[in-house]
Amino acid sequence: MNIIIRSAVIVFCIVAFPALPEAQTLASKNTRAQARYNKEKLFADSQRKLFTVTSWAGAAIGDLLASWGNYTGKSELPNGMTVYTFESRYSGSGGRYTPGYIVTDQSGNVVAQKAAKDNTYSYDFTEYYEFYTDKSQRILHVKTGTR
Amino acid sequence: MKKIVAIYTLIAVANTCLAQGSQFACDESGIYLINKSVTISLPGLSRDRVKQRILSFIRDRQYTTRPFYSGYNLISFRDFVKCCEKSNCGSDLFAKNIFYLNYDSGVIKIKAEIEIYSSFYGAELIINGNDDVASKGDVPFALYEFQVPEQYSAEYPEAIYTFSKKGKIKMKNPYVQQTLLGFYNRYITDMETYFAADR
Repeated sequence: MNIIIRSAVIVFCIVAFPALPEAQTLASKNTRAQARYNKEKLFADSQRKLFTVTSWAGAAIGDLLASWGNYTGKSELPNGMTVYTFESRYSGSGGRYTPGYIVTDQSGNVVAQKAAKDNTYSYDFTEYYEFYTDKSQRILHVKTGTR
Repeated sequence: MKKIVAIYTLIAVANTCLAQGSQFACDESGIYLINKSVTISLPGLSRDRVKQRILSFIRDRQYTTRPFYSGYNLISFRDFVKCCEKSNCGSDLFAKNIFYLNYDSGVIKIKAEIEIYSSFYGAELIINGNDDVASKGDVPFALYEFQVPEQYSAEYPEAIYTFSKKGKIKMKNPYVQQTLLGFYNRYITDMETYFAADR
């Protein structure tokens, strides 16, 4: 009986093992193809957001102000351009701090301990949009970013 | 063995010959002007005439002037065009090029800012007045990668180089390299010819 089982296992190994690397290659190949797709989809989506805002280039600043409301800053540049700035500040915090502990016996030997866990975080940044206009009040260029 | 040595020698000679006369270099880091700029001499031409030639060149070629990047003695223009088809390069490649032309009496100094996009999934790319690129329907696309990890070679057929975990760089797609070099050198040749012509 044992001989039959052993023979069956050997036959199975001989048949199945050559197919295994091929299946693994196929799986990881699909994963890599998916990775490329995901990465480029994220890029396309982020470009769209940028594209939508910066498409104000070429429009009249009056149209932008009518749509966006009041700017937060305005400055004149030596080259005659005017920069209208819109800023939004984002700040906050979250997460949790879990204190650790040490348990000792009467002799001072450590019998149990756990390290503190600190998952707290905080953020504080300003998102800005700068619209550069020429003397005819036309938007020449848009800069966006955070600081 | 002798045959192999002869073939390698031939390839090396051919590469050297192709590189000669090229204003651009293309390696794993990207494509760029070899000396960062190209200077075109136009003896006897006044500053105003040089300026007029640049403006008529941009108009004739239907490039887009970029006033934001222009100023005294500087005119910039942009071109956004498909530079290779997927059937040839493995992916549709789009070039966004901004050329900066510093000019004065009898001289133009050209600098270039190059961005290449790869549209592997057939995305139709569009550009706005701020030189930002997006795809119609937000179909995935990306900045072109000149080199990819060797295990991604099949997924990025358009990449020119692969690199191993040990950092060894290997060329895998010389066709794309030659296509891009030819494409960019044509800009310089075209400008040299146009500006030197007596109009």
